[in-house]
Amino acid sequence: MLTKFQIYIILAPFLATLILGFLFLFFQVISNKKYLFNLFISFFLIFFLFLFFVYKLSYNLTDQQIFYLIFAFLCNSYIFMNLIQVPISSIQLTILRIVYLNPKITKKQIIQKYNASQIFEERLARLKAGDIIFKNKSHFFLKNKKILLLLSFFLILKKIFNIKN
Amino acid sequence: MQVLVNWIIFFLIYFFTQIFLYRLFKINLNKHSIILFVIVISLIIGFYFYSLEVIMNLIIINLAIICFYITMPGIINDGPALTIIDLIVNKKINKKEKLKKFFLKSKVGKAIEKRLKLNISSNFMTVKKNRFVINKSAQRIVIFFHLIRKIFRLKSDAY
Repeated sequence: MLTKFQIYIILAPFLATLILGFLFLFFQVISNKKYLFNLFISFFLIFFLFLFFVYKLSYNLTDQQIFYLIFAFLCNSYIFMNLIQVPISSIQLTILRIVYLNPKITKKQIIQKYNASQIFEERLARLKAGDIIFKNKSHFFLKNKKILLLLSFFLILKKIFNIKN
Repeated sequence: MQVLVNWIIFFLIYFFTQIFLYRLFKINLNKHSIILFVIVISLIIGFYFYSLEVIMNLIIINLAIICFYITMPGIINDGPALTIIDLIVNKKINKKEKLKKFFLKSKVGKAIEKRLKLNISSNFMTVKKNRFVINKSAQRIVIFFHLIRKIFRLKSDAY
């Protein structure tokens, strides 16, 4: 039988992720112009609070419990961030929504409503709004170099999985 | 320390199994059915043993598998934003018109066709006489993400 303390340990990472969700919502209510910034700020605030909480309890915890708490929180946060990202930028979901709103639509009509040219303009505008790139006389340059980490991460994984660009 | 080493070994085995199966046989383990199967098996094992260690291990395994599941589409499919950054940074293409030309020529230029095929193969949509119809499960997905977007006040391409 699990004790109350053990049940709290199991639930702690999930509760922390729930608080992360509420904090993100709070920041979004204040200003929803830079959702990515809000998402990262919420994540780091809760993560450090959670680490502090684990540190305070560490005398009563085993190594496995400490690992579980931190790892489960990180996984939950990653899943939450992806959940937020899907309605913003998923092409697959956009197509599903177009078909949902326009039953019996043809491929030609879908492409008229949503095509690669539109995707390019939208993404370029979002990258600019997110301060990731900047425009200088019709030329675009990288502003936030942290995005290169993400790019390298996916390029390395593509190479490992032998997926050609 | 031993706990950490055991987990690193588990993740390496899981990761290399995925690479091995995908590189050699193009088999992607990250499917809804496989994820659901693992979750159901974990629930049964969790109820049967009902100990803290077992439950913690099962939760970690399931979360890691779900994380892999959501990362794989990003690896297999080309993301438009990362393609633009790749063109700017690695291919040194900075002018908007040229950027657009290369973007449309790249794999992302065919993203709509690819995602249409993916939606059909995932049973989210069916095609009857060249016309697309969305399935019940996909309708629920669309409504769910619509709620997420509304609750968190997100601005998106899809709406």
